[in-house]
Amino acid sequence: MIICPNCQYQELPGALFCSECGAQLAFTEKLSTQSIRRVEEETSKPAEPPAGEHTTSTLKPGVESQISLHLVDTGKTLPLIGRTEFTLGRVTEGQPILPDVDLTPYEAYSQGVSRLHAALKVVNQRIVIMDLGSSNGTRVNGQKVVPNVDYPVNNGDMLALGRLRIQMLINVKR
Amino acid sequence: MERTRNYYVDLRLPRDATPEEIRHAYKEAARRFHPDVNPQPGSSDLFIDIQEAYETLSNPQRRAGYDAVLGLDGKAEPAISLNTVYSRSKIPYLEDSQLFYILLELTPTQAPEQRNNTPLNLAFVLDRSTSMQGAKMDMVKANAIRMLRQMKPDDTISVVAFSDQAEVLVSAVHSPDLSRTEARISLLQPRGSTELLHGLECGLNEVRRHLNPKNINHLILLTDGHTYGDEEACYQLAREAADQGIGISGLGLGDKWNDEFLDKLASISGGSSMYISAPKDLHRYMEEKFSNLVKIFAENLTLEFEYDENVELRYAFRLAPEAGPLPIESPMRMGRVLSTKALNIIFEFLIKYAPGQGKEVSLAKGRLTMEIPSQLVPIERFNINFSRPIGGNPSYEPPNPAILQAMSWLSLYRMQEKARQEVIDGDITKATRHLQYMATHLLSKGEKELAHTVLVEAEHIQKSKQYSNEGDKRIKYGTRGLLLPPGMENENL
Repeated sequence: MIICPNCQYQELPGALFCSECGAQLAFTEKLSTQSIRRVEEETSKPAEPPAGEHTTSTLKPGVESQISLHLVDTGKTLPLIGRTEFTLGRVTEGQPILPDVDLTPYEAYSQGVSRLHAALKVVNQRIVIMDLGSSNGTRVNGQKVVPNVDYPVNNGDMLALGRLRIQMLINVKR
Repeated sequence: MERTRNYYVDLRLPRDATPEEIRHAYKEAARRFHPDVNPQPGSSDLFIDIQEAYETLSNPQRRAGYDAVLGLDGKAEPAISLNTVYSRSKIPYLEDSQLFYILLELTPTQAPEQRNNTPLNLAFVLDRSTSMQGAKMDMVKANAIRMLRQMKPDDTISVVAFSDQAEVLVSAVHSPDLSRTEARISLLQPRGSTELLHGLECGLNEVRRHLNPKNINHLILLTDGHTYGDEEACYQLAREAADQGIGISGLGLGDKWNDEFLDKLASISGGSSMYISAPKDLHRYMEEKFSNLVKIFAENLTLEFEYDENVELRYAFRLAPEAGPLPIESPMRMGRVLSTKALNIIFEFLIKYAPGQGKEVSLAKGRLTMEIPSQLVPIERFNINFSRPIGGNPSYEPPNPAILQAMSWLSLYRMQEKARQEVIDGDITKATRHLQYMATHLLSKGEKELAHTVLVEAEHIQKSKQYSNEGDKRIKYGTRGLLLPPGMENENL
């Protein structure tokens, strides 16, 4: 048996794609060496900068472009670069704390996105989302998450900030 | 050559037929055409032909002489080349079950200009039930007339209209009186309910009047509704037709037709079904169907196979031309090879147990037969033996890229099939989840429009516990359209 890394579904050996979630289970040589190199970059990274400065430390360039948000309704993709934590929300006048990612151009207001809605963080090479006590809540694949608690997200997960649908794209270069 | 008679055609034999096969074919044919059992006029002439063919072919010396007259000398290059691609070069030694993939590619070996135009023997069977009223009926009539105008002198085309009864509007003759037949078609009025069986039977009988392995024998069925109660009888007709080398294609118009039925009906003879959402698109699909028929190089491809008790064929799918699932049965009708396009089929095998080291696992063994109308001896035959050695420990070997590529799309098609079954079973949560996964992958592959359709449908299912009228078909045929291998024009969208 092989276990799908995405959804933990048990698949027969020799399967090329997970029949449950469609994740690719086998790769041609070229792709697999790429992913090994990426892992090396990620694991070697924490050794260099002193730990404990998560909010200010920046990721290495090779890792930067790996997270992006795909806004399902408008078809736009926003790459997230330069930090390990991003707050998502919308900017209004006189707001004390501004979100890192302003979703106003994507009809954030009418879709029920709060000013400081949620935060995406990189924790131990995992990506997590935390709802920041938004009015209309945050959902991951249709499941409402508890506010102020980290919730792991994977490539392809569907997030909803209020009614604004966003898809997580991690490490996908097609 | 003083005679046009072709003994190989008379007995439906390949040129390399063994004496055993010749005897068998003769007995079959004799049983069918013996004047004592077959009272139809002309059958005694046929019987004499068969007799003559057998007397020549069963005698090695006479056969050699006849082959020389026909111009069949020695071993010629087969007109089709067969290429088998395995997902891995070896089967890992495992006591557990495992999956293994095979991609079969059939390509014509001759340059396109060397292939002559094969005459069409076509029946167009159209639904005239009351639901066709309006734009649908008008478009169907216009297209039927256009098709008649396109036919060449060697072609025969018949048109049958059906509702609860069937009527032959244009009977299968060479060069019909165009103005009269066009008038008959344009006067067609919708009435009655959809009962496919009569129409199908009537259409097949028209095709049978000019049945010949040197023709492309085909029936196009167009409907916009469900047929009730006669599905099994229709399948039976399709099986008989397939045995005679008549292919069936289905065109489903609008949202209310039964795609599962039409798909199955067409697949029995190796054909496929198409989904036409709006009447205005009919023209495009008809043109495509027609141009594919004209381009047929080999048809009636039939794979007879058996496999080891440790092996099971789990899934078979035709990637091109005309993507669609194939029935898991032997004989398997695989469809046709176009002169411009290879036939690609992917198989998924379940190997329950791979025995010792160094041995071979035979996945499937059998025979692939086909008719190549342009050839002197139209029946061509290949022996098939899918087998792989068992190799070492299950160490990592990257899978074949072409298979990986095909499976990346096919896995989405199968997810859609799964979701559909889950909706039928009432498992809405699972169905929605599968559709959402599907949408995710479609998005990452850049298929935004289809991904959107899938997401909208997932929401619809969550609310109403069922697919919307057109949603299931749009997703199914949409995903199917993506399956064509790279380098091929997107035909089904």
